[in-house]
Amino acid sequence: MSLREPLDLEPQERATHRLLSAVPPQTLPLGFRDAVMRRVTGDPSVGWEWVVAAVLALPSLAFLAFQVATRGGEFAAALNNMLLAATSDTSQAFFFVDGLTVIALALLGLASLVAAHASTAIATQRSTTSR
Amino acid sequence: MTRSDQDVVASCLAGDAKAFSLLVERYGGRVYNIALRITADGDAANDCAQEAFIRAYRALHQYDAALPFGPWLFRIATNASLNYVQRWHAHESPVEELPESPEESEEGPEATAVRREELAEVVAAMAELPPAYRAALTLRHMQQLSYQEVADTLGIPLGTVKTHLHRARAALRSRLAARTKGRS
Repeated sequence: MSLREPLDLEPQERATHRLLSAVPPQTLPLGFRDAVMRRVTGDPSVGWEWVVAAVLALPSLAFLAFQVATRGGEFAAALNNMLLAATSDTSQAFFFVDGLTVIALALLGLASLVAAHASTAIATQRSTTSR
Repeated sequence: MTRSDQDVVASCLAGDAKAFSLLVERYGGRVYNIALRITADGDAANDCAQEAFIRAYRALHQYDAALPFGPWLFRIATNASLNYVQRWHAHESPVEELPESPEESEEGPEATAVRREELAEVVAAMAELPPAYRAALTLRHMQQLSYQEVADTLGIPLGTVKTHLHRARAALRSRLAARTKGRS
């Protein structure tokens, strides 16, 4: 692999070769190597975020799934009451939500935020070299 | 003493991921320029070149140390770039800007300007070619690979490479002639 010209360059190629080999190479974007190495070695600052998101989300999801399976009727009634209140002149809607369900929803929201941040960090890493 | 590519690959396979940075330093420029000429877009080239190195790293155990590392890596880079172009084929804005040439001071400013304009025309004409032609021309004439290396890199038979290159050169000449005619 010669750096000047291929060893098997044929006479009819010479003109094109002169032309194209005269095009100067572009320099690598700044930080290219670091960006590659971050992806190769894996950035731990992103890794723990996924762990935290999973720890928060999985129990909450399991609890919510359990709640829906065992008390789905109550959820449907609460949702129905809210929809009725929203579509009529009534300013009051009666429904009951378990405190644990609210906590589970809040934790799920938090987990989503952490996961979203980790995803953004990975996407940025991929193209964070100086553009 | 400079470590050979094969030594570095062996280190990586033994668990020293950081050794891979040597290969990134060694081949980064060429991989980036291959991606740049195929995608004709600086940002895309950056992404494709990074992707090529990541894929290469993950496939290091498949690399045959009896063969040179460069063409193996170029093949991954070419595939990544061609895949990108296939996915985002609408992206056809050619890279017009060219870096400062080292010959500038010897030629004088006017000759240099004319030369830079000519080279920009060549780059723009090349960007108008089909991606497969751009890949073949880049590997053969910009990366100075032999016919066999181009064939290995593109994963196509030697005869097909020669046909591709013959047609690519004719297409490039015709594009350049059209651009020159359009200007005059």
